[in-house]
Amino acid sequence: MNAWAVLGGLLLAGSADAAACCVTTSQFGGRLSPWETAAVTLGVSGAPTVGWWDEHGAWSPDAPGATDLELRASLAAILALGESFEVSGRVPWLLNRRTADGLTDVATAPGDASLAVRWAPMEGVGLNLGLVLPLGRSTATTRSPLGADVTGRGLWAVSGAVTVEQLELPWYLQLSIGATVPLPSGGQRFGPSLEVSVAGGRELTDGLVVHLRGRFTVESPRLVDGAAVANSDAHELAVGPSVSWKFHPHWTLDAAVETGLFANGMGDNRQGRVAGSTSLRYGFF
Amino acid sequence: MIRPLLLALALTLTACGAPPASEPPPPATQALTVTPTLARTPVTRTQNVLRVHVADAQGTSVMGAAVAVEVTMPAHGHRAAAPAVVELDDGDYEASPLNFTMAGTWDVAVSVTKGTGSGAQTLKVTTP
Repeated sequence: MNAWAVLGGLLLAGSADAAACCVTTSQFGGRLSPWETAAVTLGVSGAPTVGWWDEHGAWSPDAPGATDLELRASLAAILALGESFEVSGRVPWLLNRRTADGLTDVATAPGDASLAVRWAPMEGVGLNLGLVLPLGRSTATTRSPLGADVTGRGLWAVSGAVTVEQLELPWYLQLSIGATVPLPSGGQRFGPSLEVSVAGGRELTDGLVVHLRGRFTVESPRLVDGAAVANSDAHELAVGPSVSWKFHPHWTLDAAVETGLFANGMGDNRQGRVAGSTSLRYGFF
Repeated sequence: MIRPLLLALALTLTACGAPPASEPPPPATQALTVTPTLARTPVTRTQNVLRVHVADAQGTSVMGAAVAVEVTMPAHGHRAAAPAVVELDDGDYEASPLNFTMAGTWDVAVSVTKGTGSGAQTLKVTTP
């Protein structure tokens, strides 16, 4: 099988999104195979926390009895506009379950949606421009005791990314560099974030590809009335394997796991989660 | 000799800008002393209770004040649901439940107003 076919499915699936309380809502991935005109993907993911990095990068496991599970269902679509342009959108729905001190807090609501445009000036290179639509509930308006009703960051954001792919069948390598810039809101401005990811994979048999991906995300400090908030910068390193199975010319099944590296310094000012996701993709051609 | 001096004095007083009769001077503000403490330690993620004592500059307890509590996590830009505040007695107020939506360092900001008096205090709390 042509590896471009498998890559198309993989890149749409991507990895599970970051925690709702620290939403980054990446929209850097996702593209069509060269012969496809559109694709639709339904994905689900689960991401429990296992601990957190404080503002100095010290790792602590979750306290006994404290849990935070994010379940997410996403519907995504990509549409080709000519030979080198694509538009895509994704709408997530979240269900959060949090417990602490014997109290259980469960809530469900839409998350932040995203729109993106991709331009491929040449084979193997993609330029993405994206927009995050704050459809989710932010912490500023939370009403539930443990914040389970928080499903978004409450901010519009724009993003841009460059993705480069290299194929040497049966191997492939992908490098993505992207930035997300939240727009100011309510007297504060979250710092822009930069995400660098490297993914590589190998086609094992016809239609079955395994992948390994590493991601590094860094976010600059939050600004309030123009002044930086101390210790509000953040970073996180995460890795995970995934598998893509194109079991039908139109259908691709993906499964992925992503985990932080739960040790001092491997993150900063972030919750640590292990995320598992699976998605089913249909390509039109 | 005296007349020019009186004229100069009058001009000086006028230049000092005494408020027009139609605009009364703003009332003097009074600083209130706000002392927040957690009723139970160590702090937990949920069901914490905050006690707030309010006094004036002379140390006299202030009753009937408006007390507002804002719970934020500065490093993340998060906000937690504001607790309900009830007045106890002798300048004491109680805010509950104080729930923290995630582990980390939180600011519990208390602001108080009573008439022309106001005060504020922020308590830093690290939750497990």
